Amino acid sequence: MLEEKKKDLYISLFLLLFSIVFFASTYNLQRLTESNIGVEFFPRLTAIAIFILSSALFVQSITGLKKYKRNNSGNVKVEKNDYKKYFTVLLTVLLIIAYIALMWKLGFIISTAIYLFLQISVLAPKEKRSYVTFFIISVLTSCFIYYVFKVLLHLMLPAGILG
Amino acid sequence: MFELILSGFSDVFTIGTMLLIGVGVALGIIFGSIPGLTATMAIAICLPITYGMDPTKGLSLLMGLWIGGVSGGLIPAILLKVPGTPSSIATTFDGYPMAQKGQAGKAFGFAITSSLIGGIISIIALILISPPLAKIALKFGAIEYFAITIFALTLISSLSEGSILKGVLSGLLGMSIAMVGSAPIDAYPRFTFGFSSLDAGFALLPVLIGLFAVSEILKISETKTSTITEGVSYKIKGLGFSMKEFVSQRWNFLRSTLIGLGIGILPGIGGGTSNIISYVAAKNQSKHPERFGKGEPAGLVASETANNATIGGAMVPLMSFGIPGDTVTAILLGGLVIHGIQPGPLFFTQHVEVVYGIFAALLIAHIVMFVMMYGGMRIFIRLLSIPQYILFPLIIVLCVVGAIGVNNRLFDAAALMAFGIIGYLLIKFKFPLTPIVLGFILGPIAETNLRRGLMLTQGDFLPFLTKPIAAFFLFVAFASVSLKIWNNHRKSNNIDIQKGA
Repeated sequence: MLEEKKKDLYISLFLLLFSIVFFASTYNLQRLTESNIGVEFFPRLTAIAIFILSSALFVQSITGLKKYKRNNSGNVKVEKNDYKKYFTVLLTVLLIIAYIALMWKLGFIISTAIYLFLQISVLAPKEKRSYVTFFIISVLTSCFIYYVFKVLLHLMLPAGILG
Repeated sequence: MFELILSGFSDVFTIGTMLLIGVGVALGIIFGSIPGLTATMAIAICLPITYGMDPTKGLSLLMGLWIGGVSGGLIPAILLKVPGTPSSIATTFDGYPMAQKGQAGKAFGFAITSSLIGGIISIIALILISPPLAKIALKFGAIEYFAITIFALTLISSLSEGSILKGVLSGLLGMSIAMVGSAPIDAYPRFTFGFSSLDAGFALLPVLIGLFAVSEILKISETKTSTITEGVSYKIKGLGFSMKEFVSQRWNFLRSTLIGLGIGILPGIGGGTSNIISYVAAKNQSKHPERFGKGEPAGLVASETANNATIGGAMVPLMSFGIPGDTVTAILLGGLVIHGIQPGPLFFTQHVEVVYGIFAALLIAHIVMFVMMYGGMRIFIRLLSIPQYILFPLIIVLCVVGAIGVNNRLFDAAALMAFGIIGYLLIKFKFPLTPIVLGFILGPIAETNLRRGLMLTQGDFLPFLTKPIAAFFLFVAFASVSLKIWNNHRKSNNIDIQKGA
C-alpha cells in the first residue's frame, strides 16, 4: 500500500512535468492553414488534460500517504526491496539493445545466435544451465528463423558480414 | 447477401488459404496456451508476414491466429490453474477443480465446444448486424465520427481495470505518442526534433509489440524462470460430455454468447473482461451457486463461450465504423490499411469480397480450432513444457524481426525497445496498457475529424453538440465518465464509513 502510494507520487510528478514540457513545446508549432484551430490545438488540449489528471493523482497519493501515516504511526515497516531482480531486467534490456545495434553490422544469423545464447543463459536458473544445449538451440533456431522469413516469406533481414 | 456469403466461402476454400487458416489456428493455440504469450502478440508478430499476401489470405491467417489464441488459453487454465491469456481467467475457476477431480476430459470437452458455439453464433450475428450498421454509418460525417471516437476513448479509459485516473492518463499518453509526426490535414511535422525518421511518427507495430510483448517479457525476466508443467494425462471419450449435460447448458450458452457479443461491440473492453462478467452472471443465475468454484461445468461454459463470442462482437465496430474496439482489432485495422483497405462503411461497398472472405475465414477458423483442439490436445500440452528461458528470448527475436519488417529500418527496432521499456515502467507503476494503444490509434482519428468538422462548420463548435448522433455519443461519453467517478467516490466513502474513519 505504502509502496503503491509512493509510486503514484513519483509518477504523478513526472507526468506533471511532462505535461508542462509538452505544452511548452507546442509554442514551436506554426500554423500552415487558415482556421481558428491549428496543429497546436489538440496537443495543447491533451497537455492540459494530462496536467489536470496528474495533479489529481498527485493529490490522491498525498492524501493516501497522510492517511496511511495516521493509521500506522509508530508502525513504520521498512519493506525490503529485492533490487536483485532488477539486475536481470537491466541485463536483458542491455542485451536486446546490443542485439539490435549489432544486427546491421554482423547480420541477422550471427547476431541472433549470439543474442539467443546470451539471453537464455541470463534467464535460465543455475541448475538448468547447459551451455552446449543453449548453443545448439541458438544456432539452429537462428538459421531456422532466417530461412523461414527470408526464403519462405520474402521478408528482408540484414545480411551483414555474411553477404 | 447469400451469394456474397457463398463467394466469401469460395474465396477461402482454396488450398493456400485453408493452409494459412490451419497454420494460424495452430500457432494461435500455441501462443494462447503458453502463459505470458497472448493472441495480441501472435497477431502483431505475424502481421508483417501478411504484407506480401493478398488481403483475404493475410486476414485469414490473422483470424486463425486470433481464434486460436483466444481459445488456446483454456489449456493451461484447466490443467494448471494459470490462464493462458486474459480471456481465460474465469476458466481457471471451475476448469482446474474439474481437472483435479479427474474430469479434465469433460472440462476440455465443454470448454472447446463452448468456444465453438460462442464463436459461431457471434460471427453469425456479426454477418447480420454489420452490413446494416455500415449503411447507417454512411450517414456519419466528420462531426459524428469525432463524437464516436471520443465516446470510445472515454469508455476505454473508464472501463479499464484499476483506477480510472490512470486509465484516462494512459489513453492521453497514447494520444500524445501519436502526435509525433505529420499533423493531420496540413501535414506539419510535430515533435520530430529534427529527426527525419520521426517525420511519419511512430509505426503502430513497434509501439504495440514493444508495449505489450517486450514489456511483458521484461517483467517476467525479473524472476529467473523454469518450466511450468509436467505431463498431465487425462482420458477423453468422444466429446467428453453427454448430450444431457450439453442440453442442460443451453441457456448458459445463449446468455454467455450475448454477454460476449455485447462486450465485444463496446470499444475498449474485450475478451479479458467478458469471460469474468459472463462467469459472474452464470453464477448469479444458477440454482446452485455454491457449486461454482468447485468444478461446476456451467462456469467453464460461461467463460469460454463469452470469450470467443467477443471476437465476433469486436469485429462489428471495426467493420462497420472503422473504429477498433480492442488491441487486436487495432492491429487488424493497421493490417487492412497496409493492404489499401480502409475499414468502415466504404469497406462494404468497395471491397465487399474481402468482407465476406473475412466472415468465411472466421467461421472456418472456428471449426478448424475445434478439430485441432480435440485432436491435437496432447501435442499442445507437450509444448507447454518448453522452458520459459528458451521461449522468451525466441519471442524477442520474433518481435525484433516483426518490427524491422515494417519499414526495413533500424529505427523501428529502436522504437520497439524504447516502448518496451516504457511499457515495463508503466506496468510497474500500475498503469493499464490497453488505453495507450487505443489512444494511439483513436487520437489521430479524433483530431482529424475534429479539424475536418470545424472546417465544415466554419469554425463553429455548436454543431458538435446539436447534431443528434454526435450529441448522443458525446452525452453518453460524458455520462459514463461521470458515472464511474460517482461510483468510485461512493465506494471510497463506504470504505471510509466502514473503517469508522
